[in-house]
Amino acid sequence: MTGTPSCEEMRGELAELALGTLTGRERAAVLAHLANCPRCPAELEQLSLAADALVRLAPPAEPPVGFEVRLFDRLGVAPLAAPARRSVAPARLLLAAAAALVAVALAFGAGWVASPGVGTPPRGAGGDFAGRLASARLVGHGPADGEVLVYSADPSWMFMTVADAGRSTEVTCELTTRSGRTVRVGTFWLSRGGYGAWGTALPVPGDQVRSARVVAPDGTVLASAVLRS
Amino acid sequence: MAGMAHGDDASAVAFVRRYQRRVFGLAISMIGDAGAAEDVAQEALIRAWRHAPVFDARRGSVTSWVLTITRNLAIDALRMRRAVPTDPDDFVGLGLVSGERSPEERAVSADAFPQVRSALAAVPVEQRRALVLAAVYGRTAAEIAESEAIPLGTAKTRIRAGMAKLRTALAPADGAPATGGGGDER
Repeated sequence: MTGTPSCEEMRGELAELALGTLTGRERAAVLAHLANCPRCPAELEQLSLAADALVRLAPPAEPPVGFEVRLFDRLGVAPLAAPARRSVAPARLLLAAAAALVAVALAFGAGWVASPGVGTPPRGAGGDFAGRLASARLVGHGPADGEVLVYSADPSWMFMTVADAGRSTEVTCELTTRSGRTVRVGTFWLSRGGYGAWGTALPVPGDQVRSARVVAPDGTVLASAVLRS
Repeated sequence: MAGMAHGDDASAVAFVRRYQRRVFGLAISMIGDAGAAEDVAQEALIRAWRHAPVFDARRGSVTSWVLTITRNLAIDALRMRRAVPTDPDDFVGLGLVSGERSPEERAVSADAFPQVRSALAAVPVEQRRALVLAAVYGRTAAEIAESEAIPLGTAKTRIRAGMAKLRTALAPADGAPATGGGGDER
């Protein structure tokens, strides 16, 4: 039947089948043709892709406030299981969280893990961030991503978030300095799905940090970032 | 999509955050009412999530699948409310001028959007209206004939001619897979 007039005549019917606008009788006739035609099923697939493309024209739009809360409630997803929304979290919010957390870290003299509502800005963390702050997006070598902030002060400190790393594991944060030295600055845990937030005071000046890496126990680099000032 | 089959909370969160703007965007574009669009978008995401284990990646992309669920629910909502859908020209116009997409969304639809946009621009407006009414709003040729006040044969001709132009414009050059609905995650 390939290339026969009947296939050409069927083109219009196939278009309507792809769009779902045929009546039951018309649909049955087209399906009967498709069952015995070596060519038209492929044509129907192309037409279906074109029909799908029309639906995809609708522009994305931000849902109303509270949409996620209501949806997660219906899905039975615990709000605490929902990590920060990366697409709408501006760097300044991350920075504010980091500034609040760094006070706790400095008080205890060690790395810290994110928890809400604690701390006050550390020394040097208020007002004059320009020129002291380097930030970068963590780019996953797989699906992971995240952000890194490095603040130059006394002491310097850093804060990072990781998302979608795909596994729950302890990871190591490694920095490379501008002189090429690799510094292992600490470890932290990624929760289920590969989410985590962590920060620490740095053993090197913040302005000497060139890049950061998140490394799994098996040596796999999950994500990395090159800092910019 | 791997986490969808496992049904864990983190995967649910990631799924919702990846698709909610696309889903709500389609719902509000079709219905025009934010409250009704939220109802549709929530139900679509819940259904997609709960039916994820039976999703067959060989039959199309995740995006198309989720948007098809959304479209069908929006059509039901419009019929139940006896509401007038957004004018097809507005629907197409919104899509043509949209520049408010995040990098993630651009990545999701990077292959489809410019091609569809330019292809539709070349389709006569009456054929474009018929196409959108059929493809997006699920109208039959008879329903389009009635709403557009044209004979049934004319409605069918517009649908078929418009579809032929769109299909040709989106067709692969030499047998390669078409990009009209592909190019995103499976």
